[in-house]
Amino acid sequence: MISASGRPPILQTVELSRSFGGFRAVDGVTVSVEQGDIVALIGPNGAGKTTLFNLISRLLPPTSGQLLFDGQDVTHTSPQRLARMGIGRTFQDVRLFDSMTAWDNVAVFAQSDRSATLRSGLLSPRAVRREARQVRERVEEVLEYAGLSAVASTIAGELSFAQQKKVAIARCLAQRARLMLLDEPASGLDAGEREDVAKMIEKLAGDGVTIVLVEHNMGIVREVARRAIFLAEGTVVGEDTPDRLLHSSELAEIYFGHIRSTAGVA
Amino acid sequence: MIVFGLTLVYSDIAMQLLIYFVVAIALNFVIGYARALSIHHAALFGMGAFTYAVMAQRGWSNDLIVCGLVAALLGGLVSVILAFGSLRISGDYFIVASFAFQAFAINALFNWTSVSGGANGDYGLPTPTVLGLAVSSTFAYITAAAVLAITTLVFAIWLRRSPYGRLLRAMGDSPSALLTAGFGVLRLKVGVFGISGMLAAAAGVLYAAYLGVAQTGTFDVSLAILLVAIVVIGGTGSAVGSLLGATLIAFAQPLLSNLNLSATTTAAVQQLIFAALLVGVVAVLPRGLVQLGDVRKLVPRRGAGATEP
Repeated sequence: MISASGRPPILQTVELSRSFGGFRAVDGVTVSVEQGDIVALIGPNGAGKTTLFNLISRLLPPTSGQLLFDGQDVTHTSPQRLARMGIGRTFQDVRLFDSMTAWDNVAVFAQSDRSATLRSGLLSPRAVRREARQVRERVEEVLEYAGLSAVASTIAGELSFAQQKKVAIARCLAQRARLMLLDEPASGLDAGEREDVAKMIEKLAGDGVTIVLVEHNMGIVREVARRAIFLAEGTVVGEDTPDRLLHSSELAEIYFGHIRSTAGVA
Repeated sequence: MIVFGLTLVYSDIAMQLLIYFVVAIALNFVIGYARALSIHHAALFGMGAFTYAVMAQRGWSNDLIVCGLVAALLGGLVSVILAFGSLRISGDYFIVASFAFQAFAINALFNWTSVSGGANGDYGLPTPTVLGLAVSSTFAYITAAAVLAITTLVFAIWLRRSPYGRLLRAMGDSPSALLTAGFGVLRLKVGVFGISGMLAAAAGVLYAAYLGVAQTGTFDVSLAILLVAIVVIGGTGSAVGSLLGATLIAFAQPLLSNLNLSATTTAAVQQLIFAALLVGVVAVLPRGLVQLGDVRKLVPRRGAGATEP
């Protein structure tokens, strides 16, 4: 499947579904994301956005459907293998390694698969030293890129929320992710910090990283996303530029109607 | 005579401190890195003790290094099997399963009289050797224990600072984030459990060799809980904490024994006091005794934080 622009899709889902008991959280989602694109997943709470992220990063196995990355079927690939293939993600609740420094947080994502065996650490000190140097260079480069060099040795749990979110993105960078799934990168940030994150996302896309983001802040969606996919009750109900999508009265009703009703409850 | 009595007590305390320290570090690997609260380390420790008892009594070997390696192999193997269990069940359920394994293992050993000697235990064990040299003086035992303890400490510190240790710490903080970094949790958990079982069992060899006796009753659930108390009182995830915890317990035990109470009362009073100590430390210092070292650092840092815009 080649899209209108002629660029090959880096990510495709075909009729991807996931049920929890009788509840279909994601229900036959077919989407395609081009290389280098910035796509926003929008929709009311409970629409299945985070579940879709969990399916794409394979933290959850799908109930049915197919997942393709780089044209390769990865429906049954393990999450750690997918991460090595180039899918990075952040979490809504950040999930940094809270007791470790920002530096160590990023270093984990720069380490090779081999470093996960004790044997290699004990028996080949030279290879370990070589990798340690590569990791150090990578971490410093990434922290610099993300503007985090000053807080490199701060314990992640003690960083500001905005800095924590940047560390999460820096971690994806360190693993050389070609596709980043960013779950609410701007929520809980003030206007200045949001602007920072928006700039970082645009910079990443400029460097060839494909980005899919879940975001409730429509300002940032309008600013960075070239395309938006509207999800409601686990299905795709619209797909267009963010502006046009948000001006559709029908979708606005689903989105804002929902928000108004929950606000009413609260 | 009093002097003689005291030297005897102090050597016991020193041995207990060093050996508890090694087992506490072993336990700390599982609690600190895999975040699995194990109640079965007394059984792993006991397996090491009976490995020495059986090997020495039957004349297979009384060399501490040979017996230590055999015990480490056994302890590591059993612990790895338990690691697979910890993948399927976590949190409170793992604690229950671990507790069950501890009780089951000691009961099975108790009834396997040809190995454990049943209620009497294995006694009159031959004195050990190290590379052909007899270990008979108190000084030699303490040296052997100190070598084991220092090696363990150096290993624990090296491990923590190594790239492998970085992954282990990350696993403790957020296993799902570690998956997204491209690391499966299984391998790391199996590794941690394996190392932990090896160390605990190796320490058991020295323990039985020093006492000349191995009885299943020594390695029952109350020891398992004492070991957890050492780790929690000292501070989970900290080697220095394990040292502080082991020191406190090693000195507290003989002090309590000097209260001139009957054996059964002493045991009960001891458990009460350890329980009170555990609750007290956790209430005042949630991160254990190691937190005492942080107090000084905490105060100026708070001050510095206040001046930030």
